[in-house]
Amino acid sequence: MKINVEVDNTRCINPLECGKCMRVCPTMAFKTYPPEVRKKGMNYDKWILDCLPFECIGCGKCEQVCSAGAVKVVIT
Amino acid sequence: MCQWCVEHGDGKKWYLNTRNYITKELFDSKEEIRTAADMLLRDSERMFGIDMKKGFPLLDKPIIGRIVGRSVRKTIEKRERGQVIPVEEAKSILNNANMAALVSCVCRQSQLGITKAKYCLPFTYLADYGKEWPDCSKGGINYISIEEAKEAVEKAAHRGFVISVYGFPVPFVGGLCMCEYPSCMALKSRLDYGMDYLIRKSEFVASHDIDKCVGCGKCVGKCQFRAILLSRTLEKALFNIKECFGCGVCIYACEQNAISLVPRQQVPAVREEW
Repeated sequence: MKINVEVDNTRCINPLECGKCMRVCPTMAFKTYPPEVRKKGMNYDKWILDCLPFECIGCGKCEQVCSAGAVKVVIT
Repeated sequence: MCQWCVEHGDGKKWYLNTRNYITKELFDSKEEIRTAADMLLRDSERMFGIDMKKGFPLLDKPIIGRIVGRSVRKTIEKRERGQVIPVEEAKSILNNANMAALVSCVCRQSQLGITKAKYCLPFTYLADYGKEWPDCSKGGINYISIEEAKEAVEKAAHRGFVISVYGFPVPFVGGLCMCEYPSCMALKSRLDYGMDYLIRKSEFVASHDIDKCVGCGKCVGKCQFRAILLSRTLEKALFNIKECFGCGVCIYACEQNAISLVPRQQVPAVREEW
């Protein structure tokens, strides 16, 4: 079983204002970076949301609370 | 559905299938049930043939450890093994039983030296057979009605004990246990020594409504599997479903009714975790 969390930063509103997904995560796998940090071609005006796949346990709480539909838990 | 349910359940959960309940005929006809029941009584101090107090020094050695581990696993698979269950499931098991008794717990006897702690609940024929348990019933055997047994289970869950059902060996359902982490040998071997075949997780996982949670932290102290973590910053409890055994003890601790049990099948991440 492989767990992957896909974060769509184009849909995500500013994680500093919303941040529901970060607050329900039991392992605190979500990380957020300021817009100055350009990570792997990420180029946004807002803070960047990212999830560490090895910390994720795949409980899917983040997917439930995200109203913008930016977080998706993929289990294969 | 777990592997045991698929093999022995006939479409139900293995412990709810009345064909698996130990009757006198089944007890007399199956040699393995008698061996498993007798083993538990005879080896009350050296349960499973291993002196648990000394630990498992051989298991830590690189090559010998693997061989020893495999032989221990084979021995245990022939004897009693269990599964954690929520209280509601325990009650429906007792509905199928015709007779129940309370005897002193073997684990607590050998780990704490307490014979008065009556937390083992054999039912159906095993309760009757309990009279012949010389070692196990040092504290005597109390025959109780099914209603009283349900009450005892409910009370134990309120106090924070984990309810588990035991097969002697699987799939022959013989008794319920009210366990507690360091003194229960099955939970101890699983959590401390990684013997994951001794006791299984239940068919459920706990899930909570984060909006209702006020962060009082009462559930954290009840959980024996270190699955609940209290974030002081957020003032919320967070549930790690990977560690959760689905015993449902945390439900009784919550005053906000925020916690519920979800069937394991519905959570893809832990569907295969047993």
